[in-house]
Amino acid sequence: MRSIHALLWVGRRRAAKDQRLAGVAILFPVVIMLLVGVLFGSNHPAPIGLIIKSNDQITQRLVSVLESSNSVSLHYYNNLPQMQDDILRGRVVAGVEIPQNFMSQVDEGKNPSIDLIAPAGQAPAITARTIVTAAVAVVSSEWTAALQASKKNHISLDKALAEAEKLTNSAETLISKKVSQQQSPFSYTAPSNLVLFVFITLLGASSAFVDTRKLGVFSRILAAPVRPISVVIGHMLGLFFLAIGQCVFLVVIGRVMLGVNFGDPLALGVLLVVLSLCAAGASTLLGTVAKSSEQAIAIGTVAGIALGMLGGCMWPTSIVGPAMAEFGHIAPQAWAMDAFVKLIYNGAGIGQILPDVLALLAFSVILVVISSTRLRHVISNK
Amino acid sequence: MKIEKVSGTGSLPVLECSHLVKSFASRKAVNDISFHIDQGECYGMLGPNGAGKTTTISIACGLLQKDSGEVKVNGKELNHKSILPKRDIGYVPQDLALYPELSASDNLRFFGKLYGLSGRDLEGRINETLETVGLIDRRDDRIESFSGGMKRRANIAAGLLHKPSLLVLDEPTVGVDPQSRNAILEAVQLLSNEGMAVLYTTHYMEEAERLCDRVGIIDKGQIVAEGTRRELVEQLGSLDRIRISVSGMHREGAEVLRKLQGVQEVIEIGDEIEVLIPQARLKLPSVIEALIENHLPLTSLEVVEPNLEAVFLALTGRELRD
Repeated sequence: MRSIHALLWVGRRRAAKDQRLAGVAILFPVVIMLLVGVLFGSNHPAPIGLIIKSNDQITQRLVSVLESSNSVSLHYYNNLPQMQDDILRGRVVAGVEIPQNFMSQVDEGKNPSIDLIAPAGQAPAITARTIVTAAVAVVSSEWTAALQASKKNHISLDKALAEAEKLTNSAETLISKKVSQQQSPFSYTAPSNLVLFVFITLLGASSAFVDTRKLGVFSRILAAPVRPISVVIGHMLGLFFLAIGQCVFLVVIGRVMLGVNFGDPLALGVLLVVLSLCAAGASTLLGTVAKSSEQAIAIGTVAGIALGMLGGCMWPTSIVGPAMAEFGHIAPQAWAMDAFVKLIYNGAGIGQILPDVLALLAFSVILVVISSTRLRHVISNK
Repeated sequence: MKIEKVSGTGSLPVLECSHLVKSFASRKAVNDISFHIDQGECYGMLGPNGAGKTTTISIACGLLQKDSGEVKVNGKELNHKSILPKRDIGYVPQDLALYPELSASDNLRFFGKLYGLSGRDLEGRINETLETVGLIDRRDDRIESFSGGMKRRANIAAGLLHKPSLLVLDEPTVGVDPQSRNAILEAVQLLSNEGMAVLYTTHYMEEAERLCDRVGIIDKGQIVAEGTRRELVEQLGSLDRIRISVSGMHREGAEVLRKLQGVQEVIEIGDEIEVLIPQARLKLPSVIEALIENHLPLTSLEVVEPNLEAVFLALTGRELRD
């Protein structure tokens, strides 16, 4: 315990003296969070493009529900290339194509699907997706309910539909209000930069470990009455506390300054602990394999950004296609982002994010076991 | 110059290494090395780079697992898994094993905590230790702002903090300016005189000669000779030399000196006379007296004793700095 306490103490002292660390851990993420949030996030209705390929009753109803939403504004297009072009140019944040067979899908009792095109993930695009998904659900429920009521009560479909619409109008308003009230423009950029920078910071911190190793400090530590396992625990705990400190700081900034609702505090706490553990393990592993501090910084930065991209820290994995989204889950960042999206956008609790947390925990256990074994080997052999 | 030792208990050696063997792949870095160090004794391990000095002290400090042999510190067996015997050792590695971005006092505070020091005791020891190595006025400055010599002294301070009974220094003066080297040697001498056992590795013959009570000459993983400087020189059979200048009368001077008792050989080198004689310092009065009696004007006189460099060369056929 004495040696672990000493290692934590020296880790704190070194972190306090490291100006680079303050930049990477605190300044950069906050600046990027603000920048991306201001550029791409907004409380104004998200402009979405719409292509209508049918003029049936249910399609008209879907359009009217979307038009009535305070969270989106509709821009109509005749062809897909033009809408895609406007999405790329940022004129609309997302595009929706209501297919010709939308009504027949509902009639057949299927879960209807429409095409949603969204660019690099920003909060408005996610808001648009949420609104469109909710609207489709409302309209298809109305239609199904009206069909059944018409058959059962021997009334006309129009009448049954009018009754169903009365019931769902309040639900539709609630959806729009809920979405517009809960989502800060920084709701995606805050957690994504948190995840991105926790890994970049921790992977970068491995350079300090390489320096320590090269300076022969570990030899001197082990010449003291200290067990190698204490050095391993002390080192990893130091990194863990650094990560958790950064997480808490960025969550507080996100909540207080940027108005992001991170959802259930218990679930958030569990997620941050597992995320920090994972980052500490990755940092230690890199510290034990890098040959120089320069190499550690280079690998750490590239790996942090690349895995961040794969993991949805630059854009949601939902927009890159199912195969790529699945592949992205080779990065722990993807699991962390999935959990954050569930917490923030779906109001999920610990139960709903448990699969993501367990996956992240599995990454953590693997990284901690491999890195602590390597660390023990490295410090015992200079 | 050596100062009288405080004590030597004559009981257990502080460090006892017996038949140490350590191989790296097929190369034997340490090959059956045995030595001991008593309380208040400064033991020098002299040898060229790659001779096995660092490997030996890494084993002696419990940092490296030995293939065979035994290490005892104050009678307690030490291996790479031992914890308690390490309390008695102060290790000063060849590398600058300090955090450069932290101050000298913060570095010492950290290492003090590792040895269980805390509170006033720790702060007191930090000040005492920095005083010993002459860095008290720089206690709050970052190590990275220190000169090479000051860094080395801070490195030594970290090894002294917990008052070890054995101080192990691995080439502590490499790359150090003469002033700092002198400060380091004085500090080590003082500690040895205060009763601390010192294991000092170096490839600087002058340091071994100045500091060490006994010297082990190590080459290719083996101790090829061991003893006091005098014993080692006597093993070699070399004689002391007295270099004398008698202005303009060296021929006459040489004749007079040849007749002195104990003189083995007199060589005239230019205007100088070189007299080969055992225990030259003891014979100095009779040499001076003979020159004065014969009215030979003595202008300079120097005693050149055979050194460890010569011993090393004779034993290994190589220069120390090869």
